[in-house]
Amino acid sequence: MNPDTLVLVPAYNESDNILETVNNLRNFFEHILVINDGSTDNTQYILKENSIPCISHLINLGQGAALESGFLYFVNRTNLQYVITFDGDGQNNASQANDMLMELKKYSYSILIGSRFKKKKDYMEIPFFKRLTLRLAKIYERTFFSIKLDDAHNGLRVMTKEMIKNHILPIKNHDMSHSTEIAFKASNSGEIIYEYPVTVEYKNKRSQHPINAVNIVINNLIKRL
Amino acid sequence: MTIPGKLLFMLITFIMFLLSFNVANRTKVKALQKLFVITIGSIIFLSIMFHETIMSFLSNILGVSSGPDSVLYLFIIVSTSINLILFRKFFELETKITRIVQNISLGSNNTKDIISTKSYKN
Repeated sequence: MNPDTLVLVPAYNESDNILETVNNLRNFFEHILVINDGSTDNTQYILKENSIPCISHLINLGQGAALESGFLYFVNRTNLQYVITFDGDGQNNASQANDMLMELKKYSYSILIGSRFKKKKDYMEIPFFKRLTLRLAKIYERTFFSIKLDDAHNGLRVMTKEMIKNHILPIKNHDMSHSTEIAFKASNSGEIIYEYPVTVEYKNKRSQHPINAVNIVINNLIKRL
Repeated sequence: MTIPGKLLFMLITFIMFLLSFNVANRTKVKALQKLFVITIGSIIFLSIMFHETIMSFLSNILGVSSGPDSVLYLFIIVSTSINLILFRKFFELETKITRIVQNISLGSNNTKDIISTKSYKN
């Protein structure tokens, strides 16, 4: 049951998915922490009713800030060794998160990021415009940040405490552009970032609109200045 | 607009850009921002008081055909600089709000021992 690992689940208005997501994770992981990022629906009520451990932001700060709160909790309040970031909308697969953790431990990696572009089957599952945006994001990140990853924007990541403590914290980008920042910091840490093939389920799930890529690019560039 | 006028215009815009994006020591930047606002304010004040002299002086430096044109250029510089400074301020405030909310969330009694890791010994 991986007693040495904390799974962080950032959630914003995920009352339809959060319980299923946490229940799936409970099959593999003992320690799960949901970061309720100022949800205005029943997310908080569901978490409380089902005794799911959570941190609640008073207002919506963005996924980057939610993950940062989770990382701060992981580093300062636990003695656990590994952390997994897992999207609250249930798009990620709990079994694959477990496989990634095994892989990270087996080869003593510092960071392992999920990738939708490793297998053609997974790649074809991505809606066309999202696929196009992710491809453009890859070119942009290679050009401006020297990030050599196929899918830096994948929400499924496994990292060691040392990586979080020494390289990832603090997170400057509090919105969705945190993915680029995490990948950039991990690339500059001197450690090699490995990617692991994962499947992302898009059916009946809310997802950020591809146009949000414009916000991510501008925010990244401005904050880099 | 003459070449020296264009260069002056670009120089002022560049200085304003550097000031807005916090490239130097924070205290120095704040002081320079205040100096910048005072300088621009003085020019505007003087151009009202000594309309003919200042307007013709500005239009000669910038190489524009008339005084009101030079005021228009000045207005562009001032409004852009204010926008950039405000952007910077909003960004700083946003970061401060995030830190406050995170500290409240992590510091509340409810979150002290939500994950019990006593069984795990590393």
